[in-house]
Amino acid sequence: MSGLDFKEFHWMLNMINSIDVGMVVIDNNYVIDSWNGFMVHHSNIDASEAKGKTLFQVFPQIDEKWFKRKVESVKTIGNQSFITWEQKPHIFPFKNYRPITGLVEYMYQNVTIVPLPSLTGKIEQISLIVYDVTDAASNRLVLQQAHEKIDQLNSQINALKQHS
Amino acid sequence: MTIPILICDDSSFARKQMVRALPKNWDVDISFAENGEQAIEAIKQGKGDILFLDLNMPVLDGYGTLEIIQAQDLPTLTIVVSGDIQPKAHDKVKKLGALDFIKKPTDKSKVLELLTSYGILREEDLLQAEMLADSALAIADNESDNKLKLCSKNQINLDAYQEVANVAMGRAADLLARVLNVTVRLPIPKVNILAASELHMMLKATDETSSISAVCQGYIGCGISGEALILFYDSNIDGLARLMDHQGEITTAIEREMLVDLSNILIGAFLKGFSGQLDVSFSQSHPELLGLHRDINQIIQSNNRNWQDILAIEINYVIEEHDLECDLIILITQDSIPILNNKLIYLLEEHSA
Repeated sequence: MSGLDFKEFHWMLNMINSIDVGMVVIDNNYVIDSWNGFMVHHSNIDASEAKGKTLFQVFPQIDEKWFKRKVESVKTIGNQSFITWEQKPHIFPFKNYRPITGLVEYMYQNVTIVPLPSLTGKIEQISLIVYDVTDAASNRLVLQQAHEKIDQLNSQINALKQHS
Repeated sequence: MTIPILICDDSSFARKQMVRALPKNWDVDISFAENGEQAIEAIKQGKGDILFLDLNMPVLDGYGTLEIIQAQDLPTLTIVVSGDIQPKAHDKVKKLGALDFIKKPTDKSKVLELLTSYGILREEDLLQAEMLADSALAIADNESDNKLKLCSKNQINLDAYQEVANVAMGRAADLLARVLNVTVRLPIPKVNILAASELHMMLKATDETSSISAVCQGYIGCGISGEALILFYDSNIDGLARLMDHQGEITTAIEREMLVDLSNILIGAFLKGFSGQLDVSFSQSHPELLGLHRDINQIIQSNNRNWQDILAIEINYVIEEHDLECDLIILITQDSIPILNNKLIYLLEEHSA
């Protein structure tokens, strides 16, 4: 990365800021270093405002103990870890991207926790990558409901058959 | 000598903005008109030696007004003030005898520069009447202050939204003219509060009538969020293909792609003009054809809670060359209104400073 000049830095930053995926960098004490445009838009908190606060100060609804356990294992093993919407639907309390025609009120998220080794190889920072999976999740939920309904109807039919 | 000035604009917000953009201490007598007909009447009464004229107005629009002024050789100098910044509009009004063109929102220094360069505003006009004009402006200021108060409560000042929408519309038309290479008939955006039942009706219609297709796209930024909805009526697919420069067979997939692409352009152009004025940036979700992946009834049933007092900006686009018509509806959620109101106050202050 030593060849990274200012121009490259500029477009890279632009890209990171406009990508439709959330990116958060925290240090070992869960203090936020920075986050990208996705996080700014959906939380309405500027990156400069978030910087220096802990993740739990900014989002008190995150279960601290549970989250720390996840992150600590990432640091120890040096490998990424995944949280899916089926386990925790809304880690960050964001509204649905489509607040009016969307089926659900809040954004469903998948989160990947990625270790960021420093130049010395020691892990001093963690990156959280937040995916908006609302469409997939709400479609799956609708599908599940439809299946349940079919099962229910099926058992009713069977019951009727047995009677006759 | 006091100069009679006439400001003709259908939006009272825009009229006040124009008053505030005039040089202080200028010895003028300001009258107002809400459409071209009223303006012609006022000019005939000698109330408009100088006319600041908007282009998009009901009853008689700016072009029609210019034609009458030219035909009847009425004694007025016209300066067009409009959000429509398509190059063609600019040329057209000059041909119709307008002195010059000011882009909305009106900028104080530009107005001063223009007035001075045409010799309309002379040094002596300023000095003579310092007192007089000051008091006139104080009145205008007072009125605007009332407006500010209206904005600052969480009430919706539709007038201010209307004006921002008008300007956004003008900018959008300019972008569209360049991207699509067509002239877009410039409509007046309709701003109103949409009841949940109206939204139900609109969505239901897209579901039940096969000739209506709808594309929706979410947007969010700086605490402002909502959705843009585009409704295509009896889509003329051949026209659409010509517009989007598609050659070859038109399959269902291609038809959908063209609808989504055109929607994205129309939505993007308007949102760009809208967010630009408010100095915010929006990120936009993937556009989606409504009803394709999920049942409209489900949307209606699942989301009633979010449907109170939605602010809607409706724009009817007509691209005559390709026989295409569609409605763009920008829906703004209720949570966004206080934030937007604050931005509007800022906008008002900025242009009067």
